[in-house]
Amino acid sequence: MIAIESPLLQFGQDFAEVTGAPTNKVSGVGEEPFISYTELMCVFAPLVFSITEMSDNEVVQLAESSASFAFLDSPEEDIYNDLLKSKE
Amino acid sequence: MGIAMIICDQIITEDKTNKKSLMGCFNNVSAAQFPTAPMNCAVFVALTDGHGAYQGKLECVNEDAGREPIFGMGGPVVFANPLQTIELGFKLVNLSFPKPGTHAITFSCDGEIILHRRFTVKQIAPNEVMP
Repeated sequence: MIAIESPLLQFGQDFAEVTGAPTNKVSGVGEEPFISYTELMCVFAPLVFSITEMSDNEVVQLAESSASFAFLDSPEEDIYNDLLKSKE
Repeated sequence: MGIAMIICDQIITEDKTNKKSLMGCFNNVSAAQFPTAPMNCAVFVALTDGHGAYQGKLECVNEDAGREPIFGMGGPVVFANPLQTIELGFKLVNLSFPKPGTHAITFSCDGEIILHRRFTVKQIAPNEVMP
């Protein structure tokens, strides 16, 4: 496996210039089915973008819902409940 | 010549067996704002039945925005014999989509498209849960 990190790979750039070319993997192999794998890592320049800030209420609401395990109590969400019922 | 093109979250290689696992295959990307926040994903490409050397190229365009290029890269793909399967794992880091729309990723050899995959980048409401 070849894993070479490219600092910035832009549109149209030659991946053989910055990564391992597949040719590295195919020499010296006879006439039989075989697989070569080449891994290419392409790191794009991170974009600077604005984030819309959430209101305090939205943050609280999301925090509450993310920390809630209420769904465990709702029978329709619990497949084990159905299994138990079927056994009863 | 093209066997498969899979878009996924990540490609994991098992150490001892060298087997590949494609984790989190997807066809849709949802975002509340554009350009989207940088994301990491991977494109797995498998090729076979090739004769000699080709100039391979992986490209992604937004088909709904006049085939606006998102990314593209190319390089030599060399087959030792037609029985060889060449697998390429492209790990894309900090990928961002400027606009929503139907996107296409293509892999071509010597200018001929041999693998083509569409996926949708759609806009969702800020509080909507991403699928």
